[in-house]
Amino acid sequence: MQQKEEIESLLKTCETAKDSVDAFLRSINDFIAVVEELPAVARPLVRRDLESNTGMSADEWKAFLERLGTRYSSIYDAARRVADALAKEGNDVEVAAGTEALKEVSTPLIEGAETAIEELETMASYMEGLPGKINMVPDAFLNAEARDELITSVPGRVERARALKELLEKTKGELSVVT
Amino acid sequence: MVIYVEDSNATISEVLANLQSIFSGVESLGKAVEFGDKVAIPIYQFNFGTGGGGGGGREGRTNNAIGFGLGGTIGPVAVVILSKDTPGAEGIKIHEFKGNKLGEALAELILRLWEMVESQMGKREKLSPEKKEKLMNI
Repeated sequence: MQQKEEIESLLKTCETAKDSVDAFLRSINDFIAVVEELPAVARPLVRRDLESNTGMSADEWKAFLERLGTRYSSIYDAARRVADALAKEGNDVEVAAGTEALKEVSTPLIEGAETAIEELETMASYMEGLPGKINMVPDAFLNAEARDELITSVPGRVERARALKELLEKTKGELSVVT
Repeated sequence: MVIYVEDSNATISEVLANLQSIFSGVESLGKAVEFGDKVAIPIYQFNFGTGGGGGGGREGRTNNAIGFGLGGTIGPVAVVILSKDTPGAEGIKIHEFKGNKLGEALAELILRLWEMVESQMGKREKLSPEKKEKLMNI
């Protein structure tokens, strides 16, 4: 009974996390689009600033989030199989096989979760400080419209990064219990 | 600029040739900017072009005239960065700007200056390749 509840909880976390990854991925794509529209002088400055402060370029962030989204889908599918096996009470072989498959598919996330959590916090902190930095760029290099666009999109990204970080922590904890 | 002369032909070509050789491709050091323990000195290139021509008055009239013009561009081509704390040649770094577009050159210049400001502010440590690999294989 307890295992059933744990798997159901994991399934819910995976669903929420997949939505969270998608939302964060969309905001990274928006960021890339905003940067593409910046004047030629400001564009490399913003790109380099993100990379040197978060350790990854916008394209690397995109690749990481796409990968994370795929991983969550795989974990969800494996957890769903375990939940189905648990529903057929007494089928221990199927439950054991499903749990083994879940363990296998979760290993990369468990191994990379700590680094990912650190990186997401780094991204959130970077985004928090970004408006101050943007306001330091002289008007000659960044017009008012581009400045406003960059600044107004920041709070959403901070929230999304922190939300995803918390979900990763939760997933890691739940996986360690069920696998 | 128009100069009236009696016989200009020999002098015009000499003047233009001299101006061309004096101004074309001249590189000059800009004003040094200090950032903590570093000093940045931009190098500018002056590209000047000259052109001129002359003509005589109508038959029976003595006045001849010549005219010439001088135009040019100035753009940063490199920045020299001196580290006060690093003695000798190791403390001198020259960053050349690729291409001649002013925008690219300015962007490069700003990036270098920004990096220097960041180094003073204690920039974040670079993400190790192992950690990056973990993230890309998550």
